[in-house]
Amino acid sequence: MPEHGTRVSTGIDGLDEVLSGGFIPQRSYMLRGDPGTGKTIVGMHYLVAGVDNDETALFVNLEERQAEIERNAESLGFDLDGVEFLDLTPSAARFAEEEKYDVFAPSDVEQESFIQDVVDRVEELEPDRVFFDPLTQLWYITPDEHQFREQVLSAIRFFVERGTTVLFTSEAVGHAAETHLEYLADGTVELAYTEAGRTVSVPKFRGSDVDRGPHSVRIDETGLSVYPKLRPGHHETWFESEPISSGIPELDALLHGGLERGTVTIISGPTGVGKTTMGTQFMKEASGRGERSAIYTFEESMQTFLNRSRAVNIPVNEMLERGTLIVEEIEPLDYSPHRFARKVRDQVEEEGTEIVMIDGISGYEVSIRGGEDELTRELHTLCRYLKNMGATTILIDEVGTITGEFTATGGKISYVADNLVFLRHIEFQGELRKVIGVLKKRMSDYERTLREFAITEHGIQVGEPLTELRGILSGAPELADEQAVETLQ
Amino acid sequence: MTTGNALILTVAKNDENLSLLGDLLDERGYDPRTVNSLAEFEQAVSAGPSVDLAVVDVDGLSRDVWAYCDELDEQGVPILAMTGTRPDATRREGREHGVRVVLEKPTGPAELTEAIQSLVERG
Repeated sequence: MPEHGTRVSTGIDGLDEVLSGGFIPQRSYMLRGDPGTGKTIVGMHYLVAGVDNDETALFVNLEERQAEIERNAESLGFDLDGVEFLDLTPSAARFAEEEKYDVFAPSDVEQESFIQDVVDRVEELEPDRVFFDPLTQLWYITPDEHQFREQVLSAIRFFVERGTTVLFTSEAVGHAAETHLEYLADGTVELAYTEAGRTVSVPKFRGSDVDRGPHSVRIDETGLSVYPKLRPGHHETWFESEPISSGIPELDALLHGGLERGTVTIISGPTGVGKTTMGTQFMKEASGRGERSAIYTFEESMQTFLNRSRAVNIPVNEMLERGTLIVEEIEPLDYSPHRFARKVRDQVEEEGTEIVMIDGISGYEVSIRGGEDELTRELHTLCRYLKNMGATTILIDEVGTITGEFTATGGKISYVADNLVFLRHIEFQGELRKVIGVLKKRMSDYERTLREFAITEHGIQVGEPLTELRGILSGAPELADEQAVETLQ
Repeated sequence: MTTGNALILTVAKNDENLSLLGDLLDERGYDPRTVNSLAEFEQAVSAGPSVDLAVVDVDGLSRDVWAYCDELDEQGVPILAMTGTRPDATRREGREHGVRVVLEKPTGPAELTEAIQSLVERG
């Protein structure tokens, strides 16, 4: 039996977090959802958690045979060895029987037998936790709604008075039985499968605050995982808001010192201009100070990134070996925003990562599976969290054409950023060149001029301010006067 | 004679019905004697007046069942018949062969018990 005042773990970390620790002991909870949403898997996590805690855990199965359940459990990596079973499913022999009774109605016959079987098993085992799957089956063996409610209520009382925590599933979404069960239960956990993916929410939970959700759910070979919605306001740490140097004096001058800790910077520009390299430069410098950075690449393979970085004198291999850099390739279709946020949280809170780069926003948007508003909301939430934790965030945003009309950022996300750094190609005297500028910087002043930069085998080189050119942002600048030619050459 | 130890001849061709009826009568404090064929029914009837009541599920039994009901009636044994297929016809025919109550299947345990009690008390 769990100690008084402690919670009963669901066996799923993310779900325990959502429930402020887990179920309240000696209460009853309904698990609702369409077929295939993972209710039985949640039950398995719940029972195995009990066994791991040296409790007696009982699975009362009313639909799927014990053998099938054990087979499914094995395929998901669950070991149900320590779990007790009470198999109340109709036997296959029943189907083959030529004669079936008709003297009384099933509700008069099955109900008594059902109740007696449950009582006998409970008195034998004295379980600490029990999982009924599905309890709505009781509906078909009780004569009417009134008796159904009475039976369920007395069953719940029977268990709770013996110190058992009850979890039961409801298979019949929208059915009257479910309405009764929801009313009688102390809490409801609801699994769903929507266009946005699998979710879990907690519409009811007596006796405690919970995070109602919806939260992301994932089912894979390890079972069911819950990724709670990120609540930035629940996370905070003290940090010094100092600028982080890029290691390049001219770039630091442009930024009046660097990028401040706890700020969000968007580096925007067209394809191939060097956005990712520019972001990685800050990480190279941070690595020299022993600080850890993380790059999440949504659009480029890790190998391509590593090759490119090495080619421009960014020692990524050494950084990886030292543990000052982690690069993760993210397949956006495999990740919900909540799952990705969890990954970032683990990096920041458990590994002490201080600089986080998301490359790029377009790839991240694919994982959102929603519209632009959804992207803004999720990105804002993640960035808010990172700011509260003092992490420096770099978002890579591909915008615009190679040259031509200037666009600062794509869509509405610019408001998320404290700093906006843009990179552009320009065509000057028959050559394609690159310029860098700052459009916005919240925590300090910044240079209003643009600077030319180049990415060579020695790394990034940033030139002096281009005061002699005008019309740079058009993509085809003009000289202000003759003297400027020497400056540029 | 109290109703609590009444001897009740229980007849049904369906084994599950017979088992459920026997269990119910036993729970209610009666002493059920169960038979599940006409041959056994005949044997029980031929043994002479030894039961207090007969409960007969007529479904699945041939028309010979009425002959045995006639004998029971002559012995003064009240008869309760049950059927799920032809309740009206069974009421009409049963009345002619000593059946006092016909219950339509499925019936409720409470309803059956009440009818049996009433018949046993009346004698």
